[in-house]
Amino acid sequence: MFDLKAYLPILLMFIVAAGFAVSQVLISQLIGPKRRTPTKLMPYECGKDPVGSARERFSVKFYLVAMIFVLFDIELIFLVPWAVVFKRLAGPEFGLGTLMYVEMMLFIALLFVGFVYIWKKGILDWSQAARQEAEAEAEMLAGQSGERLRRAA
Amino acid sequence: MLDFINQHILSIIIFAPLVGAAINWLIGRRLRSEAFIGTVACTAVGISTVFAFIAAFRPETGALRAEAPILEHLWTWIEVGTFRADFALAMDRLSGIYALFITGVGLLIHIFATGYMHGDGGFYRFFSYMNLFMFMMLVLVLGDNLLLMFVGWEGVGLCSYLLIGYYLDRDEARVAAKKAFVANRVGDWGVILGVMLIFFLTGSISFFDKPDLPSALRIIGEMPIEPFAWSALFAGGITSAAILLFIGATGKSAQIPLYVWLPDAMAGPTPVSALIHAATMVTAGVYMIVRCSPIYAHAPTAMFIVAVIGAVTALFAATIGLAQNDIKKVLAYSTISQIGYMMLACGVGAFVAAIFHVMTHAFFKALLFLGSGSVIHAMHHEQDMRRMGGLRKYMPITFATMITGWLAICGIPIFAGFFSKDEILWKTWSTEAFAIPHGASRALWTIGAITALLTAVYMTRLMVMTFWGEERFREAHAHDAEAKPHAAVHASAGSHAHGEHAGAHHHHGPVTPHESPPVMTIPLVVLAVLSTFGGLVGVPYALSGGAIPNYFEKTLEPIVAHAPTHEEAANIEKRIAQTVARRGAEAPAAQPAAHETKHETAEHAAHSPEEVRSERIFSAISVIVALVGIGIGWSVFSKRPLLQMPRLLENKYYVDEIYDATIVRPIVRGATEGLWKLFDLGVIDGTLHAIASGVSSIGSLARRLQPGFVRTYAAIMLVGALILIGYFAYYGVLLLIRQ
Amino acid sequence: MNIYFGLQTATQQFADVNLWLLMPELIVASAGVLVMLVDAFTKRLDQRWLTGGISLIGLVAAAVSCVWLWTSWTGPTEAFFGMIVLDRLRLSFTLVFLVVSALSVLLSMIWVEWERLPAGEFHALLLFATAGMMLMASGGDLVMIFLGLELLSISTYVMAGFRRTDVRSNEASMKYFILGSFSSAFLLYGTALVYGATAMANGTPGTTNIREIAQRLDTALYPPLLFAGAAMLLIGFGFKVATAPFHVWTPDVYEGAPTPVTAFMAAGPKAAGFASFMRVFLFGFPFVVAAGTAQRLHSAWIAVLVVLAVITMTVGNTAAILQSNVKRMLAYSSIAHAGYVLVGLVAAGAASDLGQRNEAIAAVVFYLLVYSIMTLGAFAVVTILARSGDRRTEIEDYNGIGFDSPWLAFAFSVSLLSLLGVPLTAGFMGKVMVFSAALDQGYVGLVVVAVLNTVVSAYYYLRLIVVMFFRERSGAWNAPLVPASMAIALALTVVGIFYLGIFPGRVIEVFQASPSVISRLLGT
Repeated sequence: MFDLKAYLPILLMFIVAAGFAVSQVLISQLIGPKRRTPTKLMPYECGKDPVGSARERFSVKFYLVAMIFVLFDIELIFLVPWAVVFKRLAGPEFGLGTLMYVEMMLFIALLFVGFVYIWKKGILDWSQAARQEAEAEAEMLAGQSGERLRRAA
Repeated sequence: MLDFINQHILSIIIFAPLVGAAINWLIGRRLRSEAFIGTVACTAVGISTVFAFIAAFRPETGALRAEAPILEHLWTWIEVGTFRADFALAMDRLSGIYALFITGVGLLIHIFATGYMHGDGGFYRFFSYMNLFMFMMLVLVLGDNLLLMFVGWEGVGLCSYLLIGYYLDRDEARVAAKKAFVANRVGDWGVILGVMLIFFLTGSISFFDKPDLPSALRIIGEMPIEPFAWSALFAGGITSAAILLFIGATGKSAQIPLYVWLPDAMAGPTPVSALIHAATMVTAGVYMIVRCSPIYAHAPTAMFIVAVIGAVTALFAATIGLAQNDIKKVLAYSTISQIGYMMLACGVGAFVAAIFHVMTHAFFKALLFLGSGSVIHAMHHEQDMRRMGGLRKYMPITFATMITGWLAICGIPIFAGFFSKDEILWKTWSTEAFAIPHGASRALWTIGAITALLTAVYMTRLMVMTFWGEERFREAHAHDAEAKPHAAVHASAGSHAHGEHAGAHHHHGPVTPHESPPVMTIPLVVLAVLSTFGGLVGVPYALSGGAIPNYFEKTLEPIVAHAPTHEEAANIEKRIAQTVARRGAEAPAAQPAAHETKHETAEHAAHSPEEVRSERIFSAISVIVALVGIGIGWSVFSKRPLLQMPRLLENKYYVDEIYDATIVRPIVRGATEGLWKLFDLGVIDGTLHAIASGVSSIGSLARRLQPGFVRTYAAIMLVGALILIGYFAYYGVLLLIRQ
Repeated sequence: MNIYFGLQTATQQFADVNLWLLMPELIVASAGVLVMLVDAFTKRLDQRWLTGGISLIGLVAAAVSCVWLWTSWTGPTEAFFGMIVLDRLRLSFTLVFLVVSALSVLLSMIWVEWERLPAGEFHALLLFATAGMMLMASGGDLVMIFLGLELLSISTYVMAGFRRTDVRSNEASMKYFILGSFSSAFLLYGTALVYGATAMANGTPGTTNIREIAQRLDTALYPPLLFAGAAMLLIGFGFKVATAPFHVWTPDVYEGAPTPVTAFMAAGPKAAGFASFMRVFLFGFPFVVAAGTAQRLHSAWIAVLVVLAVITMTVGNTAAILQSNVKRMLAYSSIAHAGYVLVGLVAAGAASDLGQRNEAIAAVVFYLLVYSIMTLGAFAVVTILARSGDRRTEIEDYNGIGFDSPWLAFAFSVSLLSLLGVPLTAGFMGKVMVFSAALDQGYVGLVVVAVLNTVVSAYYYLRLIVVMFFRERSGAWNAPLVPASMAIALALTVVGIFYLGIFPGRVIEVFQASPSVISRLLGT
């Protein structure tokens, strides 16, 4: 019932594909001319002269936000298939309406807990330092304006 | 509450001393109050004593009244495959009697020791060890299987080691402790193998039948009796098991050839000698043999060996005891000799008589030891009888109580020792046991009688040298320093006790003996009463004519095995032969035969007139022997108490020297030359160096494998994974091809 | 409400919901969420006792519900269409996990303060990891097991890197994450292959339900796929339980991770890995008599496990001898112990008799319980001695501390002796159980190797004890104060070691017995 011969072409194809790739690299290595010029050794940047290091540092906050986005994004995608089948499963044929509804509410509640958590942990603050500065500035401004008002009065 | 006590009475008996030991070890060592420590220790043993009496005598279910033993299952200790050992306690008639005298005598000795050890720096240590010993000893006798018994067996060995070496600063004590430990280890090897063999033979190590566990002893009891032949010893059957156990008994109960540790063990404090090395622990071997009496009853060869070893040990030790000058050494050899009697009794099938003698011996030997302790205490730790004499004036109570002990051990009627020793001798003479050829019983009896004579002689010598004659303790002795270099250290212990001796630190000065305080004399008096009247529980029919029931024999007879007689053995063999011939199968047919032997014991109760008459004659002979012995002792030693005894005896037949030359020194030599130089330095060190270099090369390999790079790890895992998948894939493809 | 507890038969056929069967997991997960919320709304200073307390209460409640399920549950033993199963394997393992987590909570209470770490986060992660472990034991489906594994893994990745400012901790976390993902991929790929291989000729698609896999082995359409799938599953679990050669991550991660986390990782996830390992291989690829694919597969994985067990024990013990760092040494020791457990697994797998198999399973669970307790005990002492930043974890740091802090040294010695397997300690009973199970199946050679390995292990366990009591200290050293929660944890481990070593009977009986026996034992 199970014949190895059927797999032979696939095996052959693997060998041919791998062989082709390897042979191309080897051949160009072997017969290609090898002249190293500064231009050739430069990193490839679409014909432009490279400016600065390629290893740019990003603030870790980008990653945090990206991670949180991905997390909530994926979890919310789950809502789509649920919505698609809801009608059928809640219908008389299955009668699972309550169950499905409660389950999804629970799911969203849990997501909400997560959301509250990261909010309270200050992850959605772009920069706590910046916020503190802003608050201080606002206070200062308020104080100044208050003073001005008092002076005016 | 009452229910709880009723259900856990045996646990209370064994654990009370353990709790006492723990309290003294943890709290007593901080408080350092002798009153507290002594009270705790004595109370703990007292509780055990009270409950032991309750357990033994309570109406209906009391161990000594009821047919069935009191069983108490605490927990299942080990269960591996078919092997099961419970931590369960059992008190039947045998262990009941043991428990009674262990706790009773133990309590008296504990009380005595509070006086004797007064002022000693290690008071708390002493009493925790003593209580621990009580615990272990009770585990030994109340354990309901061989393994638990062995736990107790090892435990008492440990406590004995600790207590012999109690005087840490004495070389003698340390060496003696080590010697006792090693000699006991040799014996324990036998016990372990014996237990294994019994398990192998029966599939059980339990003493009693339980709902889901058969009794090993019953199973053996239903097996056919083994032949009386040397080959049976090595056949790996019941006889081999019996002999292996007996090897253990020779260690613990100080029989030839492993007796050498007991005399040296006298280096421990005297209450220890009284409790462990006279009354209780050393009779554990007898307990084991009687407990396993079905095994011995089925192993006539082993019984014969037990009887011969016992008789020879009895005589041998008695002759040595004749020539010792250290009061405790005399008593030590006397103990060995008396245990020899008990072994003799076991060997001839008189298990009940053996236990009877164990009990009376516990009374009078504890008394004698405590009496000697009282004397030693009075003499400021002087043990040499050559420097005593005339003490009866100074210590009237000690003297009077020692007299009863002396009469008891010599075998003067009414006193406890008479009945038990007489019974052993009579049973030896009249034994019908298959194990003892007819001529042999006569020979064994003769040895026993000579031993009895010697016993009377050396005990009289002891009494005469100690209590009568001139007062030699006032003389200054030239060999003082070499004989007792350590005594001075402990003289201080004694002198603290009594203010008037505060200046007695100088050992060389003359001492004035004094009677011991009441805590020491009261136990002596109690033991004296027991030594005098304790034998009345086992007065044989022939002597009482039935007026006093032989309570002891009536109690114990049903639970010990009956050694088959010549006639029965012949019948059994015949029947086996018949069945083999008839069915071609062997064992099952022998079972009813073994049962029948039990029924016949009932008929023994009927005393035939000739038997009664000859038993009376033999009793008379015993008394005469004892009186002659006392007479000899008195006439020889009262005039010349310092009579030089034969060198050979005084030096104990040079057995220690022989062992030293033939066993110890070759081992030491072999160990240093062979093991240490060749094996240790060459093989072990060599191997270690090789391993070390091997390890470091593996280490560098390991370092190369664990460089800390994730890529390396991933690569290693990948290689492993590929090999695994390859293997599985290979298997899968193989399967395909097969199909 | 009834539909959630399996009481409404109408919905049963479409949605096999039964929350009773999921109760312990639910309780632990809810406790985790609660801890998270508490963490979010309280100040860090008062958190420690609050979150720790909630965690402990949650764990105890889960244990109670677990015992309730064990003794009084008479309903169905499967829910969610076989995704969740209720059997002895699950419940006994669940109890082990709860013990591990509770001890870890006790261990971490004071440690988070020393390290100035957020207690709430830590406890929440611990509870989620525990929920993951419990799902791994209760899952009756490869997908469920994978979910549990991921829940556990992600929590432990974070926990390993919990000391954010410490480079070693970060490194450990990173390594664990990368290699862990690697192994998760194997597990997932194995699951996929098994699913594909169990498709049937009549067009029925494959299955990931373990019971059904077992039924379909002999009729599998593509046996080579099945074999490859089994191999990949074995690799995935092998990583989790750290068998050689998939153990390579262990030393680095255990050394780098904060000690309480290491303690948890060495005990909990390993046991969880074994729970799934046994579930999948014992029930999915079981022993069969009739020759065929199933029988082939069975003999193949048994043979592989025998070899892996030998390699694992030997590698673990040999490498442990060479270590100079205590945490690293204990890491290798944990590898060696995985090898001993594999011996039990082999015995359980090879058993043809159902009773013997259950005995062997009970032996393995007992071993893991014992191992968890003694490992946690050892790491607890390491935590106390190392203090913040894990500074003192070299063997030299232990020189001569035995007499300065006798109780700590005593507890440590007890744990080490138990790890070595000295009689009267739990470790001894565990080894006896596991090895005798293997002997019953005739694996004498394997047991001999295991015993020899135990002898080798004496070297490094005893070395630590010797170092503590017989070496001179070079510098001044103050005995650390042992905080109450640590003291409780240590006391519990020591008592546990002796209890299980001296009276193992009852616990083993519980692990072996059927539910009715348990209720009798508990007197309900």
